[in-house]
Amino acid sequence: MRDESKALLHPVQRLCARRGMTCGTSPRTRRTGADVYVLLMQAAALLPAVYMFILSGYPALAARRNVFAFLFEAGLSALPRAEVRLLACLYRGTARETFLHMAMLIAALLFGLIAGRLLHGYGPQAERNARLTRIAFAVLIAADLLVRLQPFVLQVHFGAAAAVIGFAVRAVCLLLVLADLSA
Amino acid sequence: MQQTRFSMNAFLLVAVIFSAISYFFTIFLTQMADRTPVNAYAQVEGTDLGVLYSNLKPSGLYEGGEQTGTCRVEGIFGYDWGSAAEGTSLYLNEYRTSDFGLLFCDVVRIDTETFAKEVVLEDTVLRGRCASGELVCIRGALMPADQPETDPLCTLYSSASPGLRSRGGEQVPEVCFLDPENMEVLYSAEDPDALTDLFGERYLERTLQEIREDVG
Repeated sequence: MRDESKALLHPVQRLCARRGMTCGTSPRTRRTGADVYVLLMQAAALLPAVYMFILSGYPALAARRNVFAFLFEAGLSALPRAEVRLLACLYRGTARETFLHMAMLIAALLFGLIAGRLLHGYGPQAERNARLTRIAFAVLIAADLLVRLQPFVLQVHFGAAAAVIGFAVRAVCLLLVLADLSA
Repeated sequence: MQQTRFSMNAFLLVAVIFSAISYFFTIFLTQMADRTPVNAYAQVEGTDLGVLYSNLKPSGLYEGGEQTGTCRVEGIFGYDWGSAAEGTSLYLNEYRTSDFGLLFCDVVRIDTETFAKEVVLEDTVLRGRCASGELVCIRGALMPADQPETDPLCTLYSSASPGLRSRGGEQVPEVCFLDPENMEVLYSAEDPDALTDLFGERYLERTLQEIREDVG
């Protein structure tokens, strides 16, 4: 009998295989372009949270430019302009960084939950609804890219590097969603 | 055994819970544990009113003296960077502090008869009067102590404030001269050194006409 355990690389996988368990042998999950877009947006929302989390315990971090501040700017630049505008208004209205932090993370969590549900279809015409959702996402991302090219009230004037990164991330997201639509 | 795979949603949920717990310890408990007594009182010239900043009793505008006075308007007001009384209107700076210690300032008008408070200029610092009597304010820039040049939170705050301006991350302070009767802007000029110690001799010790001629 062929020893299946030796075909697996990790010692834990071999141990589980000997005991008849399937731990660590999860099948590869196929992620669509839209799924990757949702992951990118959630990761972008986490970057500013890292800076704010460290700043809460180490206020001197704000005294000089550092990599965490750059991550903050890059993360916010990658998020949709309308969301950043709303976060800025929330911050200015409340002057509470904790509210800003929680709003950012909860918005990313809700986006992941709702988008995950919509992108994989719902209702009796699941495939059609999923395709319509992808089209709506593509239109919104394209509109966001157009806004970034204009001197507009929705602009947030972070550094040029962060603006370029944000534009590139959004452009990649648009390509991912369009690739899904053409598949 | 159940198979598990990485879920960003679960990670975010953990981050939210962990952040809430962390902020409770770093911000809320720190503020509660700070028992350093603070009590500063300053009389507003020519009035029976005074500005109290204290953590022993509510901060605000008091009438009748520090010890026995009555708090008429609660709030964190400033007097050292400028205040002005014009008829029944008292102009003061009102400060707002954020969780991380950033300080924001608005110019407020308080009616000394009804003690109604009105925000007249947001994100603006009142510095006092110039030699010819006009109110002098600085707008368009956050305070240097907030580290606006290096802290991206200031940039985010500024983007939502019509009174704050920045060009490529650099603040552009603007000095404004206002008519104290109607708060109409009579004259304004950009000055990168507005938040330095040169402000007094440049603007407060000279008349508006002299400043106009000097700036051209």
